[in-house]
Amino acid sequence: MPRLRSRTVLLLLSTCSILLILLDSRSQAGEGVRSWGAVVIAPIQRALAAVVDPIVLTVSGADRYLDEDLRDAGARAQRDELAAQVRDAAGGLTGERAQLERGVLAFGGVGVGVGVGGQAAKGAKYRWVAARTVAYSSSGAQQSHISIDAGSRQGVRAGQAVVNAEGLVGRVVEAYDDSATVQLVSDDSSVVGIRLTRSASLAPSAPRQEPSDKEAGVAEGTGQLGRLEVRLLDPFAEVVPGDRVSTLGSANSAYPADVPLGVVESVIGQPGTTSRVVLVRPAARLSALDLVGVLVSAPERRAPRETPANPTPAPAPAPVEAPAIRQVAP
Amino acid sequence: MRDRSPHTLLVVALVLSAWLLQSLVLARLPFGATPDLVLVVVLACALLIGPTAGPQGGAVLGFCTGLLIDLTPPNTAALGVNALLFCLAGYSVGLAAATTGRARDLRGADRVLRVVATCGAVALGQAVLLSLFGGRVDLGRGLVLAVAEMLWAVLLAPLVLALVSALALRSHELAEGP
Repeated sequence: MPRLRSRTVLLLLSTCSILLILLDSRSQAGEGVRSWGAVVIAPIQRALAAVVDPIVLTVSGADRYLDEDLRDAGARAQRDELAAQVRDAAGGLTGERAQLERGVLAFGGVGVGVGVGGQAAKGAKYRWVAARTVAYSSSGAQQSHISIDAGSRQGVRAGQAVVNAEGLVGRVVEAYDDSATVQLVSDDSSVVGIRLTRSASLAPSAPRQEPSDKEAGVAEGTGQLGRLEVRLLDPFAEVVPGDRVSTLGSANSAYPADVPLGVVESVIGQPGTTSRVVLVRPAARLSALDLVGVLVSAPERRAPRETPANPTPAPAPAPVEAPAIRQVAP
Repeated sequence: MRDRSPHTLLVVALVLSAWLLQSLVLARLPFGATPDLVLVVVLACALLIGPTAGPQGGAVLGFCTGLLIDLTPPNTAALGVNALLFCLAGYSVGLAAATTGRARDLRGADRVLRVVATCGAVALGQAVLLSLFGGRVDLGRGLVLAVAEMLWAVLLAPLVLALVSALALRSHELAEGP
């Protein structure tokens, strides 16, 4: 008899699940339901992330990674100089708010300025919203999504690009009221149009063939946070470890041009074969994301800076308007 | 479910903290496959409540946990995928616990093996269902992931089972008094 009852329970629950799966895959009803989940869970995740983040970031050594990444001294010096300026600029601010501002400034200066020949002015076309990473997707099979604590109330919409101080992070796939889900560039369904550039330190030794030193291609996620795969349009293009990969930014792309995406680690396969794959390490350390910026729009008009009307202890990330890059970049 | 499991509170607390730990810490470790701590904890709890609540206890626990994972934001897979898989997994593990009779000590090679095998099966199911309904993970990579998840489970299962049985013993002592 208890055997019978337990089977009934099992049957009931699995039927429920299957109905949910079918309903969601037919009508995308899940997004609506999940937005309720977001309302409940986002504050909890935000509060806990504030405690856990410093520990995770310290243990995983985000700074060390960046130094190693910027092997050539020029880029490193430039970054340090910008970082110092950013510190000065944020000197007058305090607490949580200062951290957010500093984050935005930092990626404005370092991300776009140190990029692969990226003109600083390009960054100034975008208005961005600062957000904090509050959670990573917990299901084993799909780990390349994160939750951030800014949503449609702050102007975040699905499809917008997300960057941090080091480079491209991903794009928004679902936006809720005060939180959003971001698909990382390492997700195995993520595809980004890219441009490959010889790194400055290697250029003198490598035989120069103008003007083919900027190869176009696509970067696909592998599902691993530390690795992307790049396929170049020209199968004979010369690629060496250390080459830089940045976004192509075509007209209909969600991603802006010249945002750093990564550095070539190794090349698998022979030149000229279609199976040749270039392995790239993401510029942004995807496993230790903290502050990110959502590129909200090209500013037609200067949006008024939001004043903190109700200063709550939990930091609602006010849309921080992008300071014009020219103020930051030297 | 006439006879209630004495461990309801413990189980809920364990699953919730495993879920938080996983989405805040484990998921950002730079491994190819995130260790599925939540699943291992759910299965350990299904073993724990199996003798009193029966296999349906594990099924309900799995369903609720899976639904929690499905419903909370960073996950974008079709609603119900994890609910279904966790429900089946909880049931099968609970069934084994129910037939072997009352035992509070969860350590033992057979139990570890069962949990590990079930973790592999769930990862496999995730690969199949996500490639069907999510249009995301391709099947080949899903199979690799399933193997990786099983290896993680080999590492995690003995630890989690030992921890859960220790906690259960402790809470039992506390309930009964000195």
